[in-house]
Amino acid sequence: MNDELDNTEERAQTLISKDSVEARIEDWKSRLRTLYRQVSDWGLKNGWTVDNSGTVEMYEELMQKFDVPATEQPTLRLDGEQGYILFKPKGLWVIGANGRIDLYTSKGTFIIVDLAERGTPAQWTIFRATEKRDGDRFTPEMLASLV
Amino acid sequence: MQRLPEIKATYDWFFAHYQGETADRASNNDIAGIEQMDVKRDILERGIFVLMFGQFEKAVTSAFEDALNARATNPDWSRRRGWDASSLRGKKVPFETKLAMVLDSHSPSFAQIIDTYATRNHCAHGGTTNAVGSIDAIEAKLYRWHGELRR
Repeated sequence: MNDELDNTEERAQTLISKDSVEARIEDWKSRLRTLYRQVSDWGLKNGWTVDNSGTVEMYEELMQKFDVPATEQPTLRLDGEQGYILFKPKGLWVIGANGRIDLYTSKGTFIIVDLAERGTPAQWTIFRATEKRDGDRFTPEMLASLV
Repeated sequence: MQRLPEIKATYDWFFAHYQGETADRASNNDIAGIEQMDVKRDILERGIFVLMFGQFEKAVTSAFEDALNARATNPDWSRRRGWDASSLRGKKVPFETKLAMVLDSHSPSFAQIIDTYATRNHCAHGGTTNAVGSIDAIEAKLYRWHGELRR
């Protein structure tokens, strides 16, 4: 492998600590909670049954490396006459984004990623909902066309 | 990035199958079942990411060689200056050097590309198990960066 790039990676790693990993997990969960609240509000107003009791395990590479214990990240499920909607977080430390949620609906599978820089407000962007190469800004209202 | 559309089309074909395979599991809220499928998806997406970035690497090399050939033979030293250095010849010129010759190293894209290149190397050498955010988002970035290269 290229030594120069290994060094780049090592420099980045030295800025990371157990505390910073834990802080980022908390920030991730907070972003998920905010998004789910918006989606739940939209769902309840539009006759969907909302279930926010589900979870999926989070135990990513950096957590293991810095000895941060596994934790749970929330899922969100909506059911209605039109079909179902399932938000399943994939992970925070994903390549090319600041977190990813997989969205499964009765119509298909979509990918929602946060494309904002770290420490700035979330910029949830959905891919595969339209043909747009750059994706679309995600809003709860667009779920109506995704089921 | 001649083969990028072909690589992306292959990924789209896979994704359609993934969608079909996970539909029942998602309908039944079978999270564990989806997670099983995602092990395969993660590996495949990392592979696709490496292949896609490889197309961008080729484009950087091509832009670099065009720029080098146009300038290194210029009889005017003020235009040839530096481009005729022997360290810029041959196949061992580091990617970062080639990139710096065709893209402003102070631009935000430059830093993003170098970060992505480091991740690509880790993926290619089995150094990370991180998932890909979105293949579609990466494709969009690669086209945007490609448009910023200067010959």
